[in-house]
Amino acid sequence: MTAEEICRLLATGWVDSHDIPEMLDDDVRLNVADRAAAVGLRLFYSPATDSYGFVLGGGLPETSSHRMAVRLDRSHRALIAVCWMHLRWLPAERRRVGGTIQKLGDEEPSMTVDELALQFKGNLQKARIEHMMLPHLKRLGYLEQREGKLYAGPMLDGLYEQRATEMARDYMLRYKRMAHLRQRAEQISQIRRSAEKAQGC
Amino acid sequence: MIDNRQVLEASEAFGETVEPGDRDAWQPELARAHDLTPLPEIERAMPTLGIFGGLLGRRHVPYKVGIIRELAARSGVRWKMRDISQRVDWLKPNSIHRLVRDLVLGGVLHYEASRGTYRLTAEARVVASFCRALTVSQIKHNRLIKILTAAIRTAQAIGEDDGAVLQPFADAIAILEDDFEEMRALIGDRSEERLKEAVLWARDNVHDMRDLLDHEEEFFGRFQADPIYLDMTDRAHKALTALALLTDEVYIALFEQTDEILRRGLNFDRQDIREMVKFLSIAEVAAVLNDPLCLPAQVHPVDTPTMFMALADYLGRPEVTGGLPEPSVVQVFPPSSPPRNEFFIAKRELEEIAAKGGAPLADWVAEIDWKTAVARMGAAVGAWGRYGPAGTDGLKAVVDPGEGLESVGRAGVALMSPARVRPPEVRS
Repeated sequence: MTAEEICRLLATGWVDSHDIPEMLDDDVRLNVADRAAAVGLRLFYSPATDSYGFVLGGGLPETSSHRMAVRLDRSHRALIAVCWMHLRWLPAERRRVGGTIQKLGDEEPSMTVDELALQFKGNLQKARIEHMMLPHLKRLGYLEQREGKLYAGPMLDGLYEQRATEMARDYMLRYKRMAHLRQRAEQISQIRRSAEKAQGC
Repeated sequence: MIDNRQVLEASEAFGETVEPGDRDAWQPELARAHDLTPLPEIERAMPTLGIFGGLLGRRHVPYKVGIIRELAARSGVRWKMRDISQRVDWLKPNSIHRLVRDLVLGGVLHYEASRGTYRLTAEARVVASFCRALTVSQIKHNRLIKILTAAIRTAQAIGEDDGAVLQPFADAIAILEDDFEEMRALIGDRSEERLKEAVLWARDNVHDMRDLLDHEEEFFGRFQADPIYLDMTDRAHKALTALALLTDEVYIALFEQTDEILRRGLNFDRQDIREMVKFLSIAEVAAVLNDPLCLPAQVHPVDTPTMFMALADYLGRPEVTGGLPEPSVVQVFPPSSPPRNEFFIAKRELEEIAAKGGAPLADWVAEIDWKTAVARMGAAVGAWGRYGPAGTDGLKAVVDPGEGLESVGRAGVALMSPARVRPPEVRS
């Protein structure tokens, strides 16, 4: 494949690296990256999925008449964030705490649509998640669906992981603190009630 | 204690009888701008000072508090009315006169008829001191136990009955119990910022209650055999223990333990993430991602099912998305020709004539033949009725009817009424 043909492929979707062995050649890869940069794009490699694609090379200038082909609203972002927490952040934290590295053959993290929808109960309808949002996110490469399960797509590697990790850890710390305090408050109340009951007897 | 004789003396001294209805309507008059009097400060403290309502009466309490404060702060113990007027210079003398009378009737001031002087009663001295101490817009929650301890001391100093000593103690216990429940509620709501504030206040209250119980003998020595007091003490210790435990837990968790958790490693599992997400808003979850989000550069084919899903979602009818409808032939009918609107045609003609500066109506009516002339005359009358001043008033022409008949002699028309068409602004 020529660099131009590879560019055509990458501008329209994600391609596994083994399908474009030409990219192993530094010259070809540089050529593709230059062509992408010339039109405001960036060559992107997802190590987790071992695939290539093009992403936007920077922010979009303000233009009133711009009709974006790719638009993600706050709900989409929330969905991506939760998927990232389950499929990327949790395994990474486990490896960090356990001091282990991901081995070949380790089961790839996945989740079901039901599991995902349950977390947004009251905020997003399952039908909307399943039939409107997920197809969009799958097409964009944030998620992949195989045999009814959702897996991380190459675009999940495109998040600014350090910041997302900090935010997620902050949320989790707050949640754990409050869960612990709720448990302790309940225990203390129980002790107090028992003491009052004992005194009553 | 005030007696009837004093009331009588006071009323006689003012040379008038007390008329409740009159007093309700009356308002004291200020001698200067409201902001330049002690009233704003006193009014802000009214929620607190209202507790003296029984003594100060229902009406004009801020003014009365102001007078008592002025008198208690000055030297001397007996004052003539002119002394009071000089000291309370922010009220007009007549108003001072009436308020002083009310204070005498309320037993706050004592009037000595033989000397013509007023003095603060013992109760009023105490009230004045408390009024000054309590002239604050609000009492901080973490000062409550301290204040109630002071109330116990006051009751002891006054030598009041047991109830006056024990009631503030019961109130202090209730505050601890309330603090505990409030903190539990805030933990349940996950209101971390409010919990931080509440725990600091509660710790102060715990400290003050410990202090109170440490001096139990000093405060409540005489109640050691009183079963009511013993029950209260037991309740106080239980409330104190529970609140102390909870405040310690909360304080450590919110102010000290975060670094420790991070150092030891944050252990969590999928269930934790699920529970955590449930308690976050969509905006908070979305905020995990950096802004701007890295977007793929791709052109997408149209996805019809997704479009219909979006439409169903917009319409709020998810049931219509159970598959696309089967295609069907839509029957198309040719549009039918609308009938001629003769009135509208006439309107257009009349406006055209008017736009050219005006002309006799006969110029257009009697142009072709008799049949057309009849039709046009009818249409002109119809247009005037429908679009003229009596109709929609949209006709940009005026038809002035003339008197009698005029000779036309063309297009089969011999005679016609001499009507003239002109632009609206032109007068004939």
